[in-house]
Formats: sequence, structure tokens, C-alpha cells
Amino acid sequence: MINFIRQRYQAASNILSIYFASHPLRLTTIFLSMNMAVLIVYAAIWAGFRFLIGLGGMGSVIISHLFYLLFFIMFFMVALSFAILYYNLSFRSKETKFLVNLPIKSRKISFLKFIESSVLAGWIPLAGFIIFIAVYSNINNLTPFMSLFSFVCIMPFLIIASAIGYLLCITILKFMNLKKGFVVICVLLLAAVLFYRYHKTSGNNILYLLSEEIIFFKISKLWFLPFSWAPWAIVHTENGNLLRAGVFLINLWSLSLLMLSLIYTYGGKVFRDLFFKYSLPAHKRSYHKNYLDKIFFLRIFPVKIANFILKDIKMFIREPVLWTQFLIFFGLLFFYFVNLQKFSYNLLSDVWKNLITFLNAFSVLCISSALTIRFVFPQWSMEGKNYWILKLSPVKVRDILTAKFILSFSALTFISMFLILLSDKMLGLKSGFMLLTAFITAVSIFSLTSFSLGLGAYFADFKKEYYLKAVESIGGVITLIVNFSYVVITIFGFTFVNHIFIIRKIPQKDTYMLLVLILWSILSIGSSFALLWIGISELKRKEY
Amino acid sequence: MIKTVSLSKKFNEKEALRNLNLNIKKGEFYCMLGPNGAGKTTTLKLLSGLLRPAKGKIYIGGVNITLNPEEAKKKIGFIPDTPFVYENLTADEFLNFIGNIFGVEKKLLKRKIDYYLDIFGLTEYKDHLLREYSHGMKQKIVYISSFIHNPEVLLVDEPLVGLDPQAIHLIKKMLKEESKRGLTILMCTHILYIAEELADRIGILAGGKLIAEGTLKELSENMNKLSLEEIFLSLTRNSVYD
Repeated sequence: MINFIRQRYQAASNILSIYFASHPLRLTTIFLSMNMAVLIVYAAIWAGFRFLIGLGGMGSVIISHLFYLLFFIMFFMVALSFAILYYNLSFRSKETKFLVNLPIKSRKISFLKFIESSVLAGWIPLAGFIIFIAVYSNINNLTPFMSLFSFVCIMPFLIIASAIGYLLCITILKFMNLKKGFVVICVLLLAAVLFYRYHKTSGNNILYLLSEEIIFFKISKLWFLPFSWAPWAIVHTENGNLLRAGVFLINLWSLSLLMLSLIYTYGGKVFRDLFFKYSLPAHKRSYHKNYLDKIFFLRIFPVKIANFILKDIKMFIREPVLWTQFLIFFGLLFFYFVNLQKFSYNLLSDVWKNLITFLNAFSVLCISSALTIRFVFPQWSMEGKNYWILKLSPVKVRDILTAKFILSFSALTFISMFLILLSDKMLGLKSGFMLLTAFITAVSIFSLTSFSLGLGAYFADFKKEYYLKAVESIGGVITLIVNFSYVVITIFGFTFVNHIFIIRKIPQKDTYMLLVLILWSILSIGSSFALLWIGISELKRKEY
Repeated sequence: MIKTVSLSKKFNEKEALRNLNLNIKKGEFYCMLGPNGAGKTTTLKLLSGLLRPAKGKIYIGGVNITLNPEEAKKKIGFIPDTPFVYENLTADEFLNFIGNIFGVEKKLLKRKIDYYLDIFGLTEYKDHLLREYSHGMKQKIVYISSFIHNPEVLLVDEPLVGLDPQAIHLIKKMLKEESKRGLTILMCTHILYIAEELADRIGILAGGKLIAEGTLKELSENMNKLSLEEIFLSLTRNSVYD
């Protein structure tokens, strides 16, 4: 195992030193940008906390819920992300085929892939947690010991989430297949939403809605379920209840170590069986003339553009690595809609109406942002070693980019518009507000797609065998931060204008709102084209 | 048809190619030999536009590839040593995709795809995903994809890797015939007998420099009537570990 870790470390350090030798300025810029981005995220979370504290008691209730919710949502996101990564790194990777040929025990290969998938699935949430905890400690004047203690809690939390993802992955692969597993999980999520829909609530005020009577919040705090152990341990330590905190901490570490030892001991046989089942498929499938070739809308584009769109659609549909990620998307939707329908918007005060309207747009844009990171950003890296075909073709990079943009933008606009209009309807928004949020969403999707595609081109690595690693790479993180910062700035801008109108700092809001809208639209579209241009220029420079 | 003027390429500080001057006429079959790391693949990648030159000019059919890459690329067919293809497309879909990129007319494209799939014995597999193909089968698909747009220049890197004897025979015959019909071929290989058998002219590259060039007869006469293998070994002996 040490040998594998050393090999990974050597590979990473070689790549870094080669990159630093050839592009010192670029690497330094990336490093500085990442630090700056971390500061921006820190400032955004800090501002959010300050705003909630400014709301008084209600804000404190929200902060308390946020803490548990964050761990709850992250637990499932890490588990799903792990399941997808483990499947691909273990059963679809050429490295696994190589390792299986070596005299290495299956359980060691299985465990190595477990560790690798855990690191890839967990490092971004871990970085996010660290920033979140830093802000939380700062706001609540907590000692550095608290930050250290939180870190000690988060590590086993991520291991347990990964182990759940592992169990999910091998259960689906062992007893179903990917398609059936995908359908079953989607049906389960839908059933959970429907069940929750009919769970009646009796109160209508905001305090009731945020109270622990709501099932969603209740679940996130259930003491006997492992996703709540880390926040409970942190909260008990914060309150000076060290005995209870210790119990939760022992729970976390004992369960995570138990799961690790079980996976190490019994994972080998399961791995071997699944490897032969999925790495070396026994049957060959034939694809005769495809219905996709006759898709009506493609005829509106020139053949060259339609050719690339069609290729990308087929590649997406036939690659489980890509479409299984929709599980993450459905997971996000689940968390989103089950909460939304519990709000009695019309009974709320203007301050809350304003806040909830834009928080709703914020949620939709966050989901869209997550989709662009997962599906749009890796579009160039997905070309991988086949990039020679594009590089050799007598087609301008701009045309290929246009094809990728059309496909991504249309799909995302369809999903986001559906989400924003549906959620606006569920909240019972007036048509003026609906139009405004729809416009903001459309422009934002244009920008998020452009940012992801432009930065995806800039950071594209055509030498990687497994292109989804691009999402977890430095480029992926930078895009994540850029997209997230854009969403925060967008929503903050519009909420702020509305808010200062409500608290009577400005006499009327329409002119100000229009000004902000025009300025924001120009900046969004301008920065979109700038990033696309940077991406195209870099692609032209890139060699094969 | 292929002309390079003082073509050079550096990877960081290492000079992979130094002042290469090539002039290959229309319909000529040019074989480039050289030990590992001599700069053969780098030359092909520069000529096809996959790499950018550090210095010098490249003309394909009179078009400067740096200034007008799209126009130059229309004239090129490239066969790399490793056949990377879109593995989630079928052979038929992949070849249609390539044909559409090069703007081949629809009916002609279908005829060509059917023809080449037939002569390479792949017709029955045309609706199978390329990920199910063997290395040799994928290499055949790459050959077909480089022929379907009627290139004027064919750049081939290690032409026979992973192919079965029948395919080797077929490809040698095809390349020779296409060359006679006016296709200009630049082939890089380690296999000396292929050069002896097919090439009109041979160039020997070592340490990024073209150290010898001429027909087999000219090379042999200049080197005391040695065989190509002996010429190659004597010329590259000192430069292999440069």
C-alpha cells in the first residue's frame, strides 16, 4: 500500500515539477488565484453568517440548522460521488487491468481503489468544510482547538460516507446492473419526495417552518445516524459538554475503522467477481442506424456543428461514467424540493418574501452550477487522447466550441428554466418576479456554461486516461469557485437592491433594479466571452 | 507537395528537431528511418499541425500550415502509431463523423465507407462499438478514416503495428497503388524492409537531424554498396545515445 501511495506521490510531484519548469508564471498565477478564491468563499460565507445573525433569533435558528444540514447533504453527496468514482476507477480503468495481472492480492487492489476514490470524492468537501469551520469558529469566537477538533471529526465522517458509497456501488453491481440501479435509486428518491409531500405541517409562520417538527431537519439531527455524529460532537464541544462530544467522536472513529477493516478483509473477493463481470463484458452489443441521427433539431444547424453535437450526445448516452452522475443531480433536487414546498410564502413578511425569492433563484443556480461543473467543464478533457482527431480536422476550434456550447446551453437552460418556473409557481410568485428570476437564470446559465467551457478548455488535459478526474483537478476546483462566486455575487446584488428598498433606504426600486440588471447582464456576457476567448486561445496553443 | 524550411522543435530545453529541410514531390513515397528519439514522430506531428514549430516553415501542397491550418489540413491524412478513436461510437458512426468533418458528400461517403470496410474485412462489425475492437481492427479503422476524404498527403507513423499478415499485405499494396495514383506519402518506421520494399526515397534521422537522404541506390553507392541495415547501423551508431 505504501508503495502505491509513494508511486502516486512521485507521479504528482513529477507532473508538478515539469509543469513548474515549463510554465512557472502560469502555475504561480493558478496558485495565487486559488488562494484568492478561497478568500472570496471565506468572505461570502462570512457575509452570509453576518446577515443571518443580523436577523436576530431567527437567524441563529437557521445557522444551527445549516450546520446539521451541511453535514447531512454532504454525507449523501460524498457517498454518491464515491460510488460513481469507485465503479470507474475499479472496473473501467486500464490501471486496474494492469494491477490484476501483477501478483498483488485482490483485497489490496480493492482497498487501494477505495482510498483513491475516497480522496477524490472527499477532498473538495473537506476543503469546503475547513473554510466553513474557519468562518464558524471566527463568528462564534471559538478557540483554535475547536477547528482542530472539527477536523478530527470530519475525517471519519468522510470515511463513513465513502464506505456507504462503497456498499451502494457493490450492491448495485452485484445484484442489478448500472441501468437498473440508476432507475431504482431515482424511484427511491422520487418516492421519498412524494412521501414527504404528504407529511402535513400545521404551522405557517417562519419559526415553525424552521423548527425541528419538520421531518427534513429532524432527520439531519437524528443522533443514532452517522451523518449527525460529527455536527453533534462539534456542537457539544462548543457547549462545553465534553463527555457527550467524546461519545460521538468515539462512535465516528470506531465505525469508520470497523468499515475500513471489513472492506480490507472481505473486499477482495467481491472486487474479483465484479472485475470479471464488468471489466471484460461477455456480450457485444450492436448499434444499427441510430434514431439520434434523425433528431429533428440538429437539422437547423450546419452539418459541421450538428456532427459534433451528435457525436457528443452519443458519447454521453453510451458512457455510464457520465449519466450515472445524474444521481448527484437528482439527490440535489430531492433536498431542494422537499424543503421548498413547506414554505407558506404568501403569509410571510416582505423581508422574508424578498429573501426567499432570491434564495430560491440561488438554489436553482447552485444546482445548475453543480451541473456545469460535472458535465460542461470536462467536455474538452473528455476528448482525451482522441483530441488528435479534432486537432487534425480542418474545422476551426471556434466551431467545435460552438457545438459544445449549443449542446450544454440548451440542456442546462431546459433544466434550469423548468426548475425556476416550477419553484416560482410553488412559491406563488407574482408574474413580474417570475419574469425577473427567469431572465436572471437564462443569463446566468449562459455565463456558467461559458465559464465552464472556457476554463475547461484552458485546463484540458488530453493525456489523462480517466477524464472525470478533471472535475476533481485544480482546474475543476477553480471553475467551481468561479461559478459559485458568480452565483453568490449575482444573487447578492439583486437581493441587496430589494432589501434596501424594503428598509426604505431608497425611495423606489424599479430604476435601481433595472440599472443593476443592465450592468449585471453586460458584465456577465462580457466575462463569458472573455473566458471563452481565453479557452479558445489556449486550445489553439495546446499541442498533442 | 511537402516542404519544410529550417524546421525546428524544442521540448523545454531539448532540441527534438534541428533545421529540417524536406522537399517531397507529388506522388513520392518517402520513408523516414531513425532510432528511438530521433525525431520521426515529432516531424510527422509538426507536418500534421499537431505540434507547433519553434522555428521554420511547413508547406503542404503549397499552403503554409501555420498561417492557414484549416486549408492545409484538408489535404492531409494522418495515421498515428497508436489508434486512439472514439470508443463509444460504432465504426460506421466514427467514419461518418470523420467524413462529415472533411465535408465528404453523403452518398459518396457511404459508398467509400462500405468499400473500405469490405476490403478490410470489417463489414460485419461496422455496428459494433469501437471499444470492442482489437488493436489491429482499430488501426484498420484509422486507415479507412484517413483515406475517405481523398487526401493529397498521407503521413504514416509505424504503419504495421498490431496488424495481421493479411492486413499488412493489403496495406502495403494499397499504399503503393495510392502513391502511383499521385498520393504523396511520408512514412516513419523502424522496419527497414518496408522502406526497402516501398520507398522511392529514404531519409535517415538521428538526434533531430537529417543525416542522410536519397534513393536506396544512392545511399548504397555513397556507403560502399552496403545494405540498408548496415547503412542505418553505421550512420546512427554514434547518435543513438546523443
